[in-house]
Amino acid sequence: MLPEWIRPWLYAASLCYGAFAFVWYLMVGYAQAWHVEPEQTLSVPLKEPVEWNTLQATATNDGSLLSVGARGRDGEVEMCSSAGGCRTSCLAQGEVETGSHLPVFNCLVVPETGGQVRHSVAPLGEIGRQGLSYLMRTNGNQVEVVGRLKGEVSGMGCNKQGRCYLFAELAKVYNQSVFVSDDSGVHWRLAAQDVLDSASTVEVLRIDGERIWAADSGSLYFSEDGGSHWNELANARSLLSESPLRILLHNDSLVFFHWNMDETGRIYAMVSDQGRGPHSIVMFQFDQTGKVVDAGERPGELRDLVSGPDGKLYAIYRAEERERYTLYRLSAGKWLPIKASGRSPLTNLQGSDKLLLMEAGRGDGQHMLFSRDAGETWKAIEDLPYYEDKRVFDPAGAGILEFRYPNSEDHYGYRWLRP
Amino acid sequence: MIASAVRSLGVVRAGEVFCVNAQCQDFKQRVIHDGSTLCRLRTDKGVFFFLSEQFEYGLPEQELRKGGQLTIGAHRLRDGSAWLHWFQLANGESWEPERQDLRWPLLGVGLILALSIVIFMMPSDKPMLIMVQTFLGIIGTVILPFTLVALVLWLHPIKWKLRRELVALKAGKPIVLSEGPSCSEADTLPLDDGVYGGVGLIQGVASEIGLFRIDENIRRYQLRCAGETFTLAESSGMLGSKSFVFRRQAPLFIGESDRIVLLTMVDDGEVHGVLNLTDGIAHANYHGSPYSPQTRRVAFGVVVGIVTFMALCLGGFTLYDWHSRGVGPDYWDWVELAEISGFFMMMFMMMFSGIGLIIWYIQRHSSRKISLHGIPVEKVVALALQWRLHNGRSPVINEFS
Repeated sequence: MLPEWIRPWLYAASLCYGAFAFVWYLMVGYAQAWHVEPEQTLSVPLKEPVEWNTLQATATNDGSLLSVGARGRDGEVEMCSSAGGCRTSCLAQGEVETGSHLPVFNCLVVPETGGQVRHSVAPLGEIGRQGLSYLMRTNGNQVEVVGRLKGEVSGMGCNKQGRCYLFAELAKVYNQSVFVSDDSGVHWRLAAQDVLDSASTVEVLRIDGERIWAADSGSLYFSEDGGSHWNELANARSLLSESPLRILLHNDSLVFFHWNMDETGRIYAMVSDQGRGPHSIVMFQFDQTGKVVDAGERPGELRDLVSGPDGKLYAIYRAEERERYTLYRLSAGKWLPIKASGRSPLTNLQGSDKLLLMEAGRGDGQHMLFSRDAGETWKAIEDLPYYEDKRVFDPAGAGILEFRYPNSEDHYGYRWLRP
Repeated sequence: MIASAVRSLGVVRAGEVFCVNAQCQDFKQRVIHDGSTLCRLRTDKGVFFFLSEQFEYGLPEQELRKGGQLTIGAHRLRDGSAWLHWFQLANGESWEPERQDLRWPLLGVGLILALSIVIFMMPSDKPMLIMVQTFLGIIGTVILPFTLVALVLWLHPIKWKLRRELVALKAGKPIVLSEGPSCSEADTLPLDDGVYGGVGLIQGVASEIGLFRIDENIRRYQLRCAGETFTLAESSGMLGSKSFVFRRQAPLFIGESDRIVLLTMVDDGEVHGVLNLTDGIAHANYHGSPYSPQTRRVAFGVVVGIVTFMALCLGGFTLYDWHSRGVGPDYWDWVELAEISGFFMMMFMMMFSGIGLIIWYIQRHSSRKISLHGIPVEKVVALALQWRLHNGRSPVINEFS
């Protein structure tokens, strides 16, 4: 047996090691903390109430574009959208120059006159169009409000050459209006209005010169003239209803496809089983012309089709038979496993050219994982327990942009959280 | 080779089964605290203990006392003495343990099986059915330990081995007989009565042995030796007349007219050591000492028991989980099992370390109060060990408290 004097020291050492191991391994004590940058303030007050759940961001070649909706009233915007009382500078050479004077994008479109505005879901659509949206730009260090519009931003996207598209449902304009910029969102001009019939949210999949692929929940759209004219390349809902795939469609309108394009140009449309019982996914694969190259059903769930570094496509797959979570890279129809975590959930994948970020673990061990090398290596970082609407993954700044509370002059604070 | 080397030191394997032809030298019995009659049979082949309640019929005391020749079946205790299971007189008459009634354990097994089938077959989609399932589960859980104990007692290998030997003996077939060590009486200590370094020593013949009741639950051994009356704690860990197969420690037995040495400690005035010169067995009481072999064994048993129980539970739940989902385990299942096991191990490590620290703290303070002069019980133990070794016995001291 051990000498008597060593026993209390052994007990104490075991206790200390147990406490350390408990915190270190089980509560992921090795997860690094976020670097919280000093809080700054927007120079422009936003009209309350701000709908932070509409906050979205897209990367440009020198920063990010952001948009957020608000339910507040802005007299100048309303005047511009309804009576054409827009400032003359807004219409210089048929484009707006965004900046601190906050041009109103509605000045670029021609309002429909007479009759009721057509919408696929008219009452809801009309409510959205009565709102106010702000366009913001960030260089990774500062956020500036640079434009306004009466209506809702449906989607945004840019390529590395600085070509950006903004889709919006505007007041008194049928369907979608498309704005285009060649300088990363500084100057905007109208590409088209009253296009993409029945689309409500638009995902920009790829911008290649004048060619652009975009999708809403059911359809894949393509334009080869800089967004002026659009063709529906494929309708996944129609394909699904015609295919023998066994997915349970209780209501077509509830079937939301997730779309994205990998680095090879393969387009994916994925929908999860809406029915009871075991989960399954249906995935259609298209080439750039919208031709179906593959279709199949697979048990389990596929979450978060996300573009990462170099336009590579990533998704988290949850296997059904044994509950297993795996991060895959989808490339030319192949599923390449990147990181497996067994039964420990992987969720909420975010991706940009510089960073992949996702939530991992559960309970007290919940944390986040990030990778700066396209998933080769991962580091643990503390969980952000209240992933509120006011936070958005900054696709250019490799971190999270968090909006804070307004000061006494209604100027919102913001700060970056960086790994 | 190792076994023979160990045997040469006088160390025996506790629980070892053996049969021996022996001649009785002395037979004594006394009533112990639970009302049973503990018997000690000294023979030329060693000392044997047993309870008279083991046998259905009365003991042939005359033959046992007057030097009768016996064939004995017994299992070894730690200190070299043995627990007697059966014996046969020279005239072929034999005394064997009562046969265990198998009805109850078998009924228990049947009931548990029936309850398990009902619980698993019963649909559990209604609250009332779930309540019934729970109720049946509780009944099964209560029955289970009793049934397990009865089954273990019935199936215990010591029992079966010795029964086989007895059946063979009765049938007139040859059985393997052990020679066994010859045990003579032990020497007295070459010391006069007195106090030696805080340890009091009294030698003499025990008389007027009986039980002294302190209160309803506490009774102490009372005896006279060298003209003085002493009381000492009753030997702990007595097992019932049916479960003696588990016994590995010789009981504290002082017979009338036994020559004994009592070792007391000046600090607390208690008897801490009993050296029985008649049967060569030494007992020590570790009261006041931070640790004792018995508490260590109990603590170790508790730790092993809890860890084993949790491991069985974890294994059971894991197997049920794998079975219910209908797919065998893969790499991640094993990883998860290892993680959960690691978690439990860590929790146990923290728990036992914490408890160990608390016990160490308490004992450190309480032992200081008792051992005012810093005289540890180990002095008594060391004296007893030396005495055992000097008399050619194994270095095993029985503990009483």
